[in-house]
Amino acid sequence: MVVLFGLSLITFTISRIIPADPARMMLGPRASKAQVDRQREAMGLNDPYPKQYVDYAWGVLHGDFGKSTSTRRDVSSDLRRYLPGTLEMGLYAFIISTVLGVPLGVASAVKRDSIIDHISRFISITGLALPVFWLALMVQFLFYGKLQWLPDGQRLPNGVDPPGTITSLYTVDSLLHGDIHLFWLSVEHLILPVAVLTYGAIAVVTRMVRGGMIEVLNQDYIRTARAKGLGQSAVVNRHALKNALLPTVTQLGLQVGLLLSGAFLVEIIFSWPGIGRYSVDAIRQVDYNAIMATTLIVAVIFVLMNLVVDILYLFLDPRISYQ
Amino acid sequence: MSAEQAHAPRSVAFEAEDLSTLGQVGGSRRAQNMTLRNLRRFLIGNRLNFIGLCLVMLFLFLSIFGSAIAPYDPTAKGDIINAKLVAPSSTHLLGTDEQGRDVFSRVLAGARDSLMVAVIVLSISVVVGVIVGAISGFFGGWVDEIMMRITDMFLAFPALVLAIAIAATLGPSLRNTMLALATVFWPWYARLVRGQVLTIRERDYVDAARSIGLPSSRILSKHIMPNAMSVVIIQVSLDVGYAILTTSSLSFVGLGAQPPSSEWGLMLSTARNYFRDAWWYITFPGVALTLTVFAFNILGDGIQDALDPRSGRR
Repeated sequence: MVVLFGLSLITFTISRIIPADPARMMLGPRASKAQVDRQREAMGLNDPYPKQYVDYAWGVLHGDFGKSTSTRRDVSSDLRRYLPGTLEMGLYAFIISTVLGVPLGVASAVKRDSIIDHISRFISITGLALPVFWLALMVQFLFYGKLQWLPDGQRLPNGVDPPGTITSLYTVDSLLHGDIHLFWLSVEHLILPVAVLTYGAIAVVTRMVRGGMIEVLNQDYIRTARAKGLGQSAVVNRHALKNALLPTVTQLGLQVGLLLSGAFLVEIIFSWPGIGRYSVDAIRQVDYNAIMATTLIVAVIFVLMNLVVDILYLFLDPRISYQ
Repeated sequence: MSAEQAHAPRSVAFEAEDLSTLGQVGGSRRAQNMTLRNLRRFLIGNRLNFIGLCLVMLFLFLSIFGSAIAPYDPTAKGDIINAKLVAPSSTHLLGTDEQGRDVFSRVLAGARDSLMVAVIVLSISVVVGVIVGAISGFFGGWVDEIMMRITDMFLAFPALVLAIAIAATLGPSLRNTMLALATVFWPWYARLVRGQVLTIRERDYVDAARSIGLPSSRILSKHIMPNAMSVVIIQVSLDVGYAILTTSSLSFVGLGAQPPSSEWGLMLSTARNYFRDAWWYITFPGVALTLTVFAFNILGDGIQDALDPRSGRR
């Protein structure tokens, strides 16, 4: 709650320190001074800041982020339209990077300096250094421009209607409607953006799991376990894995932040209708309401995910209790 | 940058010195020898670190002399009619861009913007972060409470997203991008330094200093801070690559460097429009950027291993 208050305070402050006059932005350069003044009054910009903040926070709490000056719609309805795109992409990247990254990290810690360790270290070093937007550009060049294997972007080809809305995730909705063709189309469009996002995320997960695992494998109780004659798999699975994975659970929340940031850049390149691209378009149109709303939404998702992780941690680690 | 790094262990070498000299780190030759030996082992014993160091040196060299040794003027318009988007050849090693400018020269010149941003952003963040963290950790109580709640607010945003929002409001320019990045980076340093100060202020030599009646400001500046800085230095070395990467991301979005600058993110943002016809144009600025970030990352990791024995050689 305190954090949410802080988030709204920061976005509010940012939206009020802008050098440009929002009323002037809305009416355009040819509006007279009187018109601008009237608009300022109507937008509540002449009120004292605390009152403005209360109005803003009240609106946000009721799902009202104001009007977008570029799309001329309510920002909240824009968010409803674009958020699922980002969620679908991020969700798959999150799942795949966790499912692949954790075993890779464990395997490379257990078999140090083996082929698999080298592969995992290569992935984590390059994954952290490769700019996500450049990687996206290069795979687009290769798989669309040269090989023509995959589409260049968007969630579905032009002219294809999305499935009826149930979850707003195209892959899930098309399956629920039993439309296999549409399902494959949406999967085809997801492959490149998800792969690019996943690569960076795998790097982080693998690195963390590998580090945690190596630390645990050096502990005394592991030596004890080995000394009493347990096999490698029993030592790794029953003694090391649980302890090594606990700290990485907390990092999963941070990974969500990474994916959300990555989505901003990946969406631009793949013309993906998500909030990242929406927000960058808003930046080009100097559309402050939209910029602040997307920033706030992303931060709220980030905070909520971290909260979920904290609660999860409570269940996973019996030693911890929050009174 | 993660929360656990906020409590990163300090160098054991420094710790031994602290106790024996009551915190006067200045003349601790033994600690210096330890560090030097570590550094030597870190450079010669590890091929990856060595490569990283060479690449960083090359990058530093280019950011100073890049424009001077470039075969063509990196910003002046080229021959748009005859030399537009020409593939790599002996006259243009890495080809030309949509305005007929030499991509090789532009990539060379682009190093400077990246370095400048990294240095300025990290300097501001470190200064602000260290001051806030030191005051917060040393005085504790409500000062600490307020300052840490403020840093929490900033840390609740994914860094890139907040930086984009701030830079977007201030207006697109490299200067505003640096401000935005510093706003996003300093809370990490504040957290880090606060954690350090909290542990160090409980040490015996700080009690000793207090008992002989030294003022708080002197205890903080002479006895606590010098010992807290090694962790900050490690963190800075780990963050350089990240700062460069974030800057070019912002430039790519259209917020950071503005034309005719040849900042790599900006070059890629323009190159994007020609990705089907000019592979060299989208390839080489990205290669330069990746290599630079890669170099700083492995060097940062190496420095962390060398200065911080407890992080283990992984």
